[in-house]
Amino acid sequence: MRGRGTIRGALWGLVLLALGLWGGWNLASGRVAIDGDFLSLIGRERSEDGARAPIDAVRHLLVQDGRRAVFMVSAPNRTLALDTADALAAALAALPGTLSASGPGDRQRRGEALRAFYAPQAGALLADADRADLEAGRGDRVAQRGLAALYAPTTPLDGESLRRDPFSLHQRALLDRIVRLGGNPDPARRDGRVHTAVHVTLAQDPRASGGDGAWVAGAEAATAALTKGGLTKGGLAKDGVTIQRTGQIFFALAEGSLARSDVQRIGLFTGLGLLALVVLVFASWTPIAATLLTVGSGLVTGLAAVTALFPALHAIALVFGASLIGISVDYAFHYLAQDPTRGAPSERLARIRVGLALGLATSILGFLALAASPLALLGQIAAYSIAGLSAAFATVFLLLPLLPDPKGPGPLPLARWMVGLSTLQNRLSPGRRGRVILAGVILAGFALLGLLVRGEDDIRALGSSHPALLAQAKAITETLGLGGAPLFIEITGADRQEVLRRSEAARTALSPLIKDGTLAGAIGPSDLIPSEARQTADRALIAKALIAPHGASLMPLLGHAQSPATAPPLLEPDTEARAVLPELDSLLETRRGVLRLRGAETASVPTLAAALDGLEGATLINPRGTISAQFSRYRQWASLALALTMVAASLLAAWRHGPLDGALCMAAPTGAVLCALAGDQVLGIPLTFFTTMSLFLVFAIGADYALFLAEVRDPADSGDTTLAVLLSLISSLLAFGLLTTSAVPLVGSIGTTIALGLVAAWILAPLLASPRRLP
Amino acid sequence: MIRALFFVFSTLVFTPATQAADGPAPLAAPAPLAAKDLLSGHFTMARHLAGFDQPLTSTGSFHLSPAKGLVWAVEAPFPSLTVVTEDGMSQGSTTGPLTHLEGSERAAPFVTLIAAVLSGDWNTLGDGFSVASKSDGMGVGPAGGTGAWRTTLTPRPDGPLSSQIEAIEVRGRDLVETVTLRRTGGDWDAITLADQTVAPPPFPPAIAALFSEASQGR
Repeated sequence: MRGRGTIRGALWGLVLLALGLWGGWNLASGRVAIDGDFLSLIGRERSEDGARAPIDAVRHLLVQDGRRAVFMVSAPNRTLALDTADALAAALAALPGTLSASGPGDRQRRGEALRAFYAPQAGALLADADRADLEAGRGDRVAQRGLAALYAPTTPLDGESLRRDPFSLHQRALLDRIVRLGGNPDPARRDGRVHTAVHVTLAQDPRASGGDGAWVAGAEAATAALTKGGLTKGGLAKDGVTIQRTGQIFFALAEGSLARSDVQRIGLFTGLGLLALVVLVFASWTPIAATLLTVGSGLVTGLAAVTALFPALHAIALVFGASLIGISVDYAFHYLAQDPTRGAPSERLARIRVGLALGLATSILGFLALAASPLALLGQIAAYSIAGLSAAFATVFLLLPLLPDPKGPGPLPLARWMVGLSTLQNRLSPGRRGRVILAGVILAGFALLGLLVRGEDDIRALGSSHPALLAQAKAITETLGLGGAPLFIEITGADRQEVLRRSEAARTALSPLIKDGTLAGAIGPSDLIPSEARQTADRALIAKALIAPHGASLMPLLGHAQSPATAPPLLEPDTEARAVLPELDSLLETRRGVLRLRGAETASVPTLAAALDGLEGATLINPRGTISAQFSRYRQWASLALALTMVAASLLAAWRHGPLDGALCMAAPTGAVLCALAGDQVLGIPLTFFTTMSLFLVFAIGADYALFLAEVRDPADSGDTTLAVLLSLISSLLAFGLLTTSAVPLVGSIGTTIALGLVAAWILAPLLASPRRLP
Repeated sequence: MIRALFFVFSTLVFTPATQAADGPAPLAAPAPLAAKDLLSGHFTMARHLAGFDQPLTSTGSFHLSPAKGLVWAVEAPFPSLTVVTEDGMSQGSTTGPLTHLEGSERAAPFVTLIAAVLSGDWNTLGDGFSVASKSDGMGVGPAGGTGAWRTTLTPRPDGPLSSQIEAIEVRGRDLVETVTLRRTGGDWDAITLADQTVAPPPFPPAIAALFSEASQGR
């Protein structure tokens, strides 16, 4: 018998080894990628027709935004601001990972290149203000502006340009484009100081290559060097120069560092705590090996399963999958807590077989409910967990019996105390009527919380919202009109010209919002290359509303030289244009274009949407809203899956223990979920997708507690089971409870939810699920 | 081109020519215009453009503050305003709002040069131009003879303005009276200044308002 068990165990070990190698090879070879970016979750939904949601553009745009950083250099005077900004741009450009960095000097040189590119169009392009005046019949204003330029002390006009552009339209048309391309190219004056920007584009997202820390450190060193010995705490240098910064890379690194620091600290305490627990209770390496084998086999198998099923895995799926597989430590404890003197391993396993099987079945039911959602993330979590928990279950039966039994109890006589605890719990447990009432209270509590609790899906609530970085981002938006919430307008059309025309229509619709300050500005493809229709219309407008009525006033001045020049060819978004205007590559594709909005706030979304209402082919893209909506869907599906799991688990328990006892048994983990949910509300922790998944974990572990206790048939087993449940609680609290101390709200909320729920589950399980037959 | 013209205008129009020729001898400096003061006067500008039958002639008034910038008010043939400050160049009618036309990246250096010249910082001039002065036989500078003088500025071949400006000739007595600017394309401007006065602050409200509007409208 023992021999067959060894063979089975060896075979299972080989299977685990193969699965581990398979999963490891999939990841190491890059056959399956791991994606750690929230953004990659967007648009990954499975749909019935196999098509993906048309939101790749958002991800593409946000990835582009993620590669951008803005530094604002502020100084008491203009020269110091500009010189410092140019020096900073040069230093940042030299950093590995920087694609480009432009300061004021670079922008001026860029301006000259743009002037040369647009020069042949002099007299054929219009600034928005001039077009508005001409369309409104105010050609006299435009003419007057032209005459002012003609007689100005400084003028770019010469004889040749004046013949082509007698009303000096080009200077204003050009300035319109320069301003839109780089924001305002001039330094801003505010609060008696001069502020200017350095724009940086990173070669690729450094987070993907792990180079973000080095780049940010390099940027900080450059900043410190320029501010003569570094910045003071308030960011003020000795000579009055301040350098502020914003960009996803800074936020991601700050939050990542915080999370890493938390995880290291929590991991250390958890590891030491678990080790101490095992040593104190068992005084043997066997429990350590057993728990590691059980959880490890789950992790290996889960990983092999998801790498076989999915071409790319999200880090969130891996983290939650691994956490959920952590439930399997309960299986190991349930076995280990059995007194070795009370029978051979096979006998001990026989006593816990049904409880473990029911616990596994309950968890699998829950994960199947998750897997039924159309959301790839939840599918990955479900697949990982189902495969992992099943493997852990098999390991308990196939490998753990092969381990030597602990020689005796450890220095902490926990096993002896458990008999007393079990007796106490049993005495406190109410009668059937009391249990029914308690279950009723739990149900009523759910109904009440269902009415009161509202989900919170705003992704801003998930981060730590680094206050210093937020303040800098706010200052840069308010001072330079840069940064702000990433908002875009996606333009679609049958071809480039239609995209350009629709871009112009959207821009016209946004003009009032730019004027009233709702937006700091916008740039779209038509700002750089107007549509052929717009160019043709502008030329006609100039001829009709400006040259025809006002050209005569120039005749006495310009004489015969005012002959109409040959019209230049229409501008096209061709190779030549893209060489001078590389922005076109990201703003204009064959059937799609993008209008980037500057200085927009999320609160402006309804106003922006209203402004675009009725415009064909123009869609406001609010990535933050889109991601939040995505997490809302995740949360709703997870909530639904949790509810289905509760029902399914109750049916399963009813099948095993009868309708009433089964329902009462599952009332315990359900009550634990209720307590966690209520506790979160009291503590001000919002109900997010992540806390909902934590509730899932609470229910799964709580169900194990209840099922293990409900399966006790022999009073002698009671102490063992109580010990298993207590060990599970302590280990779970060590693993998750310490998360409550995290500075990252997301991590802290998960820890708090699980800690509250598991303590409640530990209290409720013996009250509602202990078998009545025991004395 | 704006840089060139403004540079020339600002450095010559308000600069009594008191310097020696293109040699190492130190250039005499005019009495600097205080940063807080306002230099005002009238001008006549004849802009000769290649291929045009007649020059574009305008008249009007100007106001220059080393600290704030320049207001150039054309009165004839069409009233218009040009205001150049460190924040850029703005233009408009005499009654309507100003329109920002040039960024400070291009305009600010001109204003900086105005201040440098009026404060007697001739080193700035020497960077891009060779300077040749002549006293017309009656002494050089305000202190010599009748004070009539003529200065010719020629962009150095490797200077930033050599591709745009051919030469600038300035004439004057106590103050600059005429400026002739010849551009490389054959165009040239002739500017005559008159009735110049220097006034301490406060500025006339209308002028102060224009400087303010030009700075805020950027």
